[in-house]
Amino acid sequence: MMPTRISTLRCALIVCAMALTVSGCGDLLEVSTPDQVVASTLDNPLLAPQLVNGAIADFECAYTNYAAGTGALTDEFDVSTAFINWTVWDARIVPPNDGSLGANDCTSSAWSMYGPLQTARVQAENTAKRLEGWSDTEVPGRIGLLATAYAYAGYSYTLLGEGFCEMAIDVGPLITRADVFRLAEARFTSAITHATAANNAAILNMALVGRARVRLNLGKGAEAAADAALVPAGFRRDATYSSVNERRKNTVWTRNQRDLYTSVAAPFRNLTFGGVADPRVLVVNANRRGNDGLTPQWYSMKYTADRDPIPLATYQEAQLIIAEVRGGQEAVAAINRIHTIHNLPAFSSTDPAAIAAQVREERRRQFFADGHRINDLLRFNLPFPTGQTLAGIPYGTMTCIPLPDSERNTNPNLNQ
Amino acid sequence: MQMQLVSRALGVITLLLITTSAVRAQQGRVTGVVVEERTRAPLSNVFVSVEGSRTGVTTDAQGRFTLSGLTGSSVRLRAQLIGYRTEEQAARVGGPEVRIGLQERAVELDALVVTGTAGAQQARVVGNALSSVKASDIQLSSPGTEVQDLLKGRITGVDMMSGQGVIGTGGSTRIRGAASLSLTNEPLIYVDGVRLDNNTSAGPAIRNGRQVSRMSDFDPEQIEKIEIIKGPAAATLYGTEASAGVIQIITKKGVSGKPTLDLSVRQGGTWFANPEGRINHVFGRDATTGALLELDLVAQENAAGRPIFTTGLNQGYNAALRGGSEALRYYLAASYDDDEGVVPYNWEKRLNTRANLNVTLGPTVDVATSMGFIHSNTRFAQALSAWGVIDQINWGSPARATGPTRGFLRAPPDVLDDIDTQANINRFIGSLQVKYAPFGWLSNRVTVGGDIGEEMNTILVPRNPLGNQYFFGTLSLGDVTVERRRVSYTTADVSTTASFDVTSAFNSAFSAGAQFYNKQSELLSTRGQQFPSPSVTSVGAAAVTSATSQFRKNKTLGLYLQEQVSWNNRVFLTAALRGDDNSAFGANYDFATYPKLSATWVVNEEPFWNLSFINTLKLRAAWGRAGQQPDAFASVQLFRPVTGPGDQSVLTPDAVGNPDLKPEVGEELEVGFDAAMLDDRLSAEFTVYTRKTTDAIVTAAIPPSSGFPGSQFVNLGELKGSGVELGLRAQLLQRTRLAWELAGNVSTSSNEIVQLGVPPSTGTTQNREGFPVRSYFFYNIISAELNAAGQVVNAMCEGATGATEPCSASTPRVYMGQPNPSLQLGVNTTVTLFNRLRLYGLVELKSGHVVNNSDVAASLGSIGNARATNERTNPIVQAYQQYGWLQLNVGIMKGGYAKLREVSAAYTVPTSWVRRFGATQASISVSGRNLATLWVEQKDMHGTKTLDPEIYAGGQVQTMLPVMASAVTTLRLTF
Repeated sequence: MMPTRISTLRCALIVCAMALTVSGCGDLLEVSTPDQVVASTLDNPLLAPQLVNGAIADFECAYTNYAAGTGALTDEFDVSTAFINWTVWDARIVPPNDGSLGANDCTSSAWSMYGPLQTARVQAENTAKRLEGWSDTEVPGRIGLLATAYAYAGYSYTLLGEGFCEMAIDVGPLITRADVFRLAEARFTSAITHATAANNAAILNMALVGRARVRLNLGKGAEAAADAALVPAGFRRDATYSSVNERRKNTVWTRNQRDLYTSVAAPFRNLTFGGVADPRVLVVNANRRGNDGLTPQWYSMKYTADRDPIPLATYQEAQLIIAEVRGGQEAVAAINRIHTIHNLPAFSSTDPAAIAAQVREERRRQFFADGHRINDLLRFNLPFPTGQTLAGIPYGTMTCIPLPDSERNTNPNLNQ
Repeated sequence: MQMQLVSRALGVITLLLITTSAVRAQQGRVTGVVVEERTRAPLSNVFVSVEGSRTGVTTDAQGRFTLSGLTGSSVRLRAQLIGYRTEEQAARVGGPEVRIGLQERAVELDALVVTGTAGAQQARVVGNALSSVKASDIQLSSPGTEVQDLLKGRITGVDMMSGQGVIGTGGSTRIRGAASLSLTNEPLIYVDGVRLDNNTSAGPAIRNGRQVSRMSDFDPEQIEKIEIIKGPAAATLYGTEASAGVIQIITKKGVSGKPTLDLSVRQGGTWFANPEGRINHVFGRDATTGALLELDLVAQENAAGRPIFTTGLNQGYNAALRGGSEALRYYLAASYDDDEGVVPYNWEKRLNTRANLNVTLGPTVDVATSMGFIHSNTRFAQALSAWGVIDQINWGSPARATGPTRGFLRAPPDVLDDIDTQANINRFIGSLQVKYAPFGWLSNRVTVGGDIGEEMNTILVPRNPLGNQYFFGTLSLGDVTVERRRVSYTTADVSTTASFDVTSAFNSAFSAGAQFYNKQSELLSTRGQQFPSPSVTSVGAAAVTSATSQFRKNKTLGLYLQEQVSWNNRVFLTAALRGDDNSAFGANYDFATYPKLSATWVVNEEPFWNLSFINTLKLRAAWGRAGQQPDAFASVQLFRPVTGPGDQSVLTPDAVGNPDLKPEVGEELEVGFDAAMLDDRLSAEFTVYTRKTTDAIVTAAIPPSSGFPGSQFVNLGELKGSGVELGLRAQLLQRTRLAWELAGNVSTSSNEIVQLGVPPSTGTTQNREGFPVRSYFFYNIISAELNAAGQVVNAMCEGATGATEPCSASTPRVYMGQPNPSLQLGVNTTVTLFNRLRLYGLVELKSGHVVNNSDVAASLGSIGNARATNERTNPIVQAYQQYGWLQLNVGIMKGGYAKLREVSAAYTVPTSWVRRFGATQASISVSGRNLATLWVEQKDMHGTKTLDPEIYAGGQVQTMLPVMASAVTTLRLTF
């Protein structure tokens, strides 16, 4: 047996020698990544502004896709291309395993919004966590940055809650839309606290509009109206876009006027109020067919270039929240404050139902092509388009967007 | 006067002395040349000796030798060279020049093998199948312009997949089939011991992606030999990255002797054989009458005097100088190739230069340097995705026949020349190898070198005066993409071997070595759109500009130990262990180890051997592991810079990474034999292998709610494979004026996913447990009927269990086949007439796979210009249409084919003729490639023909040019 022991020992020594030598050469194997950044690098407080701006960029990319995609899902846009991954959205028959629905790169697919919104949410949350751990000395303007991160986290939650039927957060179990709105409310509250401390009016008002929006979704009308009432006239916070590259473009515009993949649907054409064309829903007939060679192409002039911003939080939204919650002549007054801004004739009514209907109509027009419509159809239980699409596909029964299989099949808390 | 007499006398005496000595020298001397019996090529380094004496010399680069100081009127010469049968021949001292022909051994056990071994080893020691081709021999009879040409159909188990028929593009290589689910299945490539860029997706992004193979950069004329090791059992010493096999290119070296100059000229042509008969007509319906319309675009253009395809001129010029002394040998070569494709704007101009030096610094030190520089400039056909010539033809329509496109899809072929897509390559490959053997029992080898290449790719669509009203739409406003790709591979390889005779029968050889590899690639891509005028073409002058960059770096450090024992030089046992660390391994994973065991037994040298008809028999077995590394940076969590608000740079999540990531490990057991029978007239090489890949890296989707996009590499998969390889070679006739050799190789390979570890992928190409890698899964309509109204009824589909069921929305995709051939066959034959004329033919067959012919699918489906689609009388096609499965679902076709890959005639010009123009040797050959397709397993789908099954093998591609026919005449002269 002795030779075996010696042999075993020799083998063990050889393996140990090799292991020591190889593992001791770690420096020799170090490589750099000049076009990417290793995650640990982000723990540097000097990068704080970049991290916050990164979270905003992720949100803005997701937001434009959300606005364009839900626009096709609702009655705002018809799909004017024959590509199957677009027409299923028009017909509201998006299966949970749809590639576009499951795509999680912001520019990789037709309507990629779920993954990008989740990325934007996590980016904002992680940035806020990092900022909470740093000191004001390490990060000048830290509180303001923290407010910004929380505000964009709040908006990511808001859209995930408004658009999707159910949700999972941080690879967790299923939660309801209301759960998501409550998370959004908490983030907006944090944003308001920090923005107030930092005396950052822009973020404060953005968070107030956002919190009012989710409180409205949660049925907290009075609290929503109270938040909205704090928003000053003229306030507007946009999601910004640029022609510099595809990821920064306003995709509501590119899909409508560059690619000819969407065409403004009939309910949003030639809208007037009191005989005056409503400037909030300017639509022109392009006098050409869409990408499918079939659908008449109507352009939305709300956006006239790929760099045009999309409104995210506005004084008008705050006023319409007040109008919806308080009704009556307070609503009429709120509507007319908006009409004044847009040079539209005044609205007058004493009929509560007519006023409520006008509030809904005002929301339809005011928020055209900016991602509000799907939530309003669901909140007000308004009908989605029925019959069949212009391409002849019968409309499905889908209203909210299903949780994609890309989450359901990979999240261990969902696929057990 | 006296002085004159003395002077004349001295002159006469001197003349007599000189004459006498010359005659004596002539009388005591034998001169001659040694040639390869089959190819008539001169053989250098042959040891020619005189029987019964110690007199002996080696032949020079021209195969010539001179033996002097001989006595007597005749001697018996013996010529010996490893790899050849020893030849004895009588010669008359002072007589005419002797010609000795050496015949290659059927199985040579003493030949040195350098690939996959710790230092050079004799073939008898190596426990795995040895495969090699002598490039220099192939080039003599059937010259090719690509390295791939040397290997196609010649090596068992090696699948050289053709790229499309565009000059400048290349194909992929599979050795023993697919061994990885997610990582590359391309073998490593070495030149003279240095690892190379083995990218098969280089060049500009043309139709179906980047299609340039860096292996195509090399000039076969400068290659001596290519050795191939096929799998983990053989590639253990190459460690991580080697599980898909290794190809080593060994370039030509200098030979001592007077300088020899080899010149060759190649002239020929490349053409699209029978396009009228192979390209489908396009169909449509008259918008008014509904009548069926048919258009033959090829015939239409021919009739109009605008043939779409032309014959491209191929030419090549090669010069090589070699010679030197025992101390310094040199090989200097330069070649220039200028090849045109089948459209006038497709060409490649390539310059290859090489300088190899071998220096002997005394009895213990040898130094070898190998340096090659490559410059090439290629302009591609199929210039830009959707704008290739086949796109325009395949997807044309008779409805457009009277329009500006003349029936072609978007543009007539003659304007495609406007798109200028080029690749410009500068590449240097160099190595320095030092061998130091201070003692007879100790040898050391150090190899350092690198492969440094720069590629400039340009895709230019110049501005057209018509702007976006021109054929290319918005591209006609001007669009240019310029990419610079820099790649560098660095190799440092150290090994030492100590040999001891333990007893008179037992020998022990212990080897240890270390290797370091560093590979790095940088890609800088810029794009400019919208030029102010047609003459402006630079990125900087465009109205809209953008740029991206990409950087990849990977390092490997490996150490190995090997112990080899032999008994009576007949039985050999080898055990080795390699350890690797790699920069791509996860932080939680230290290093990989790859063991190896092999054994060989040269049975015929045993005293008991009495089967005289088997003159050589080596039994061999090998087991070993090798790895495949993860993608660079795959283990690290990364963010990438993107543009944010205010066009400022910000960061976004890019890859979640996997700190536990480790290499996937290929493990292989192969058993076989090499045998020569009937006095080397028949030889056989047989191998059976089984392979398993564990810790296979698969792509696992990331839950989007984690906040990271994309997917993650994880070590969850397992796959297995097996195969049988048989090579045979027979000398059917060996007469003075007629010799006939027949050789063939056949191999089978299969693979199966044992464990996937993640949910199966969806779509048409899927990885599923129990099926081969990247198999095709499609809806399969078995039968259908049309009712009187032309509507589909009784459509029956293949169900999940294989049983037929009514087609419905819940009909599953079913397995249709695998993309890689499971059967490969190569048969070649050589007939030599009068020792001068050599006729050669090679047939290659592949079968057992299916192709996803998306050209056919699109014609029947999304494009809808196939006859069956427009006639609307084919119930199956109509059923696919009805269920919405037509697009890309009707292109699955059986992929088998057989082609006459090579045919050639080579003539060795008699020496007496050659000498008239000052040369020592000359030959002329005429050779053709891909001249005939002998068999196609499935020629059409519902009447729509496949253009060439070969181009679809291995994966889905669309609108590629088929593999083209070519013929060249090559004249070679040696001075």
